[in-house]
Amino acid sequence: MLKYIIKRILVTIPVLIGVVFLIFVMLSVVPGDPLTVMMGEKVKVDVIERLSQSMHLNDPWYVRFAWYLWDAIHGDFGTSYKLMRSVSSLIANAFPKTLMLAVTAALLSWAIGIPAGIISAVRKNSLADHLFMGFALCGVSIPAFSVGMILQNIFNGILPVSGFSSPRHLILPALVLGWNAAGTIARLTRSSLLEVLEDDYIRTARAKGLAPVSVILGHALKNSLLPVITMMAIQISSLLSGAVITETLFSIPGVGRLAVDAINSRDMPLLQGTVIFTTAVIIAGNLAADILYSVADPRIRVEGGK
Amino acid sequence: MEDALLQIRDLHTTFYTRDGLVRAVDGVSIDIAAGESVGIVGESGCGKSMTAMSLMGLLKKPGKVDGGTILFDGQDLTAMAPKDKRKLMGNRISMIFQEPMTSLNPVITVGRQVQEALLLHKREMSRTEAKNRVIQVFQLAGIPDAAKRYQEYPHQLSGGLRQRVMIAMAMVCDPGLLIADEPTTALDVTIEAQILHLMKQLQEEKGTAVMMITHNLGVVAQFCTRLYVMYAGKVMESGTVQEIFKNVCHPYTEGLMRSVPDMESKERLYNIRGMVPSMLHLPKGCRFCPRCQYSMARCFDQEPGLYEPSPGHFVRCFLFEPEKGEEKP
Amino acid sequence: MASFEQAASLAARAAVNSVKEQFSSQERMAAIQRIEEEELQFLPKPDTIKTKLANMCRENKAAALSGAVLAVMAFAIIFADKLTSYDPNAVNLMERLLPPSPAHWCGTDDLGRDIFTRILYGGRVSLLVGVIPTAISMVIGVILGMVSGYIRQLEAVIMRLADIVLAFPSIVLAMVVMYTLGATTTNIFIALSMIGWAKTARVVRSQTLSLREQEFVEAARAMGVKKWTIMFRHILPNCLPSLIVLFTLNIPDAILSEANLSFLGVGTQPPDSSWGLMVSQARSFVQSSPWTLIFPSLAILIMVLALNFLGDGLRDVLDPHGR
Repeated sequence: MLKYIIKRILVTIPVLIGVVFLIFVMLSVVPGDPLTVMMGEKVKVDVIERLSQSMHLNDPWYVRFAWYLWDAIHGDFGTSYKLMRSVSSLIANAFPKTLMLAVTAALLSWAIGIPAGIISAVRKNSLADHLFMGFALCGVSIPAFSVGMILQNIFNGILPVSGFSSPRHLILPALVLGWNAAGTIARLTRSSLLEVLEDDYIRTARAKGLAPVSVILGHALKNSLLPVITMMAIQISSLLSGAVITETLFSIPGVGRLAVDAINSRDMPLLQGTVIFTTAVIIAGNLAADILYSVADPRIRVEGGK
Repeated sequence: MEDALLQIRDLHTTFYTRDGLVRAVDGVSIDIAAGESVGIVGESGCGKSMTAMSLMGLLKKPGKVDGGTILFDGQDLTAMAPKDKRKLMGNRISMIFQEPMTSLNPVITVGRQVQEALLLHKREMSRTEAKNRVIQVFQLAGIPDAAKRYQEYPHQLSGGLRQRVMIAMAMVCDPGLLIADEPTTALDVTIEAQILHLMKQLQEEKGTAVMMITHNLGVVAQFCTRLYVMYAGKVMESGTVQEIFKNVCHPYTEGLMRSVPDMESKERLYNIRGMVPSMLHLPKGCRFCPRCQYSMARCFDQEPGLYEPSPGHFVRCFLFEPEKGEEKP
Repeated sequence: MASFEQAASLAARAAVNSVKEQFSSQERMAAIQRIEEEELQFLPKPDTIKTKLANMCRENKAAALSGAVLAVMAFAIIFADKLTSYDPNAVNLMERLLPPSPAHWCGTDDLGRDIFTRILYGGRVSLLVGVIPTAISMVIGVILGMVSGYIRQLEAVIMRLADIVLAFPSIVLAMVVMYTLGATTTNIFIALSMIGWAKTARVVRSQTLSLREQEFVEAARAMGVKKWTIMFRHILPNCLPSLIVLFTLNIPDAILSEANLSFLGVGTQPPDSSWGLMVSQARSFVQSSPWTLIFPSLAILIMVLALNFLGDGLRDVLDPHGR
């Protein structure tokens, strides 16, 4: 078990380095001298020389990559060209907002998606099933910003539609972000529960004389939620992806918004920093989900299994 | 048999499939007396498992019992409210399945899975009492280290041990009737003998009636006192094991017996020609006629009734129809 | 085991009866043959992809309807110039933000352009963005997936690469690629292909891993068939059902990704239009002219929904265990 976790952690390290490398290379080929972006055209040559030196701009790309990696490990992602503040502190400021948004949306999606999926599976082909699944499919079929704009329009004046200063500001963006996630979770819970209900041990449980409710809650649910745990990990990624859109639409100063601003102002260190940070969060989330899965499934948890 | 524990009368189970109706069980009548062990034999797909599933109420959609009665202890299971029926299941009637590898829930310890049945049906029992009882039954079922095994998960147990757990689960409430659906088919031959021995022993100790569903006549010969042979949803021959093995009447039963390898015989192993008919389209007349080596003209357009060549021995074959004017023996 | 005496007596009974019935053995064989021929019609028919699709159309009305809706939409988008007389880019400031009317079915936008016309033409971009990157990424994904499943030396490299791509939040990676390459429609194809292959590769690899252990592949290997022939002749056809499903379900993902990129300003650039771009351009006029938002949103919703329904239906018949 411990061995499994350590192995799992070790596997993520090359992936993380790969992520940094990929982003670094992609952004290095973008034309345009960073110093010009940073301070405009009229800068003294010796200033440029000095800055280039301190930013390793004259070194070959692999040396710069090594420096970047080294600094990143120490939590230093450089300084934003436009905002002139350290990227780390900008992210540290923005991340709690993104996290709050994502966690609220995730909780919302589980609270709605899992029960809806269970009801749909148990009452397969009933009206409730069709309604829930139709709603779920719409949630994954309509762009979040369309939904967001419609909600902003409807709730304008009733709920805050932009900014981030009170919990009430969270309602609409979390709804937009959560609908998509709830749809995915509901569909997965349903299909996984339907599959489990066909298993032989469900027949055993029924033969024992258990009532249908106890069979589903006591025997089927635990097995069917195992794939949902994995899904939750993948969800971290789609929530953070979706946060880019929702934060832009609702003017929430989170990490996603920071990345979009960095693109619009061609602010390379900020873009690099936000992308790498977000990806690192996702990798950590996947790792956590994997470990959670291995704890939840005795076939992995208890050694001596085949 | 008036005082039978289980009386199945003219049971019909139909699957309403896309391609048509499949009458998986077509007018089956079976009696089992208290403490008796009865074998149900036939090739796969002949309806023997479906008879048991109808009895347990475990039919999967689109299957449905649509005729006949199942009397258990005088109560009709087909007319009973699901809630009352569940009080019998796992308690007075219990079942062992063919697949020990998949029949136990992988995320719950085996002990708790057995204890669950006990807590469900014996409300007066406390958790500790139930646990002790389960460990005791584990020991009876020949599970070594019962207390330790109690806390293990199914994947930590071998197939034979898992089947012993299934048996413990079935026997824990001291049922009146145990249905065993091919309990040893998935196991090694050596384990098979052990499991059968265990079941025989438990049956004799507790006085439980057993319905042994199998395709293996050897198992029946060892285990059962009476026997029903099923083919394509109907009972073809029934009687005591002794009588049928001595005086086999139905050509299908004869075929089954001759298909069992015999070390002493030099003759080439017999096989029944053809295959089980598609249940969507059964031949007119006797269901077995195209595969029967003795089939006659009338077999191809009339269905034979059930005849009684000797007392208690019934055969569904025209060869045993009493001659006109001849008195029924 | 059986008593042969008994068998003999059964045969004797039968013989007596056949004489009585005058039923010759030829007649008997004929009767048996007749029954067996009847039986043949009721044998389960082998399920080809075609019969499975026919079953799906019969049983899953939503999937069948979705197929029809998609066909109509594709037709309308392809023959846009025959279906509408407006020019999608003709600015007419006299007719700004008109509500839906018989002249303008979906109203007009802030530059007086007919929204219905723009939806038809914008659909071309959305449809191309749905199909082309999905096709490219699937070809890459299938090849890399098969190779990594079949040639163990390359497995680690390819799969770590896929891990890296899949670690990114997809919109963010697409955003960075678009930023690097510049925002053009061709670059959207490239960006989405670069990201999409990883998912396909994982699916194909896991299928290859289980297929390579199957007897028919081992038999081919034992006969000395070359690696690449095995992969393309034996493994690929067996992955086909799940690839069809994956293809259908990846198209809506690509369409939504393009919409998101356009919303963020790094996707389709004006004056070209795509549905996503139309929605995001509607942002400033939502309050007064909701039709500018609603109709392009509906276009996306209907197309993506139809593709999802169709994909789910296909999965049920072609690839019941895939997820």
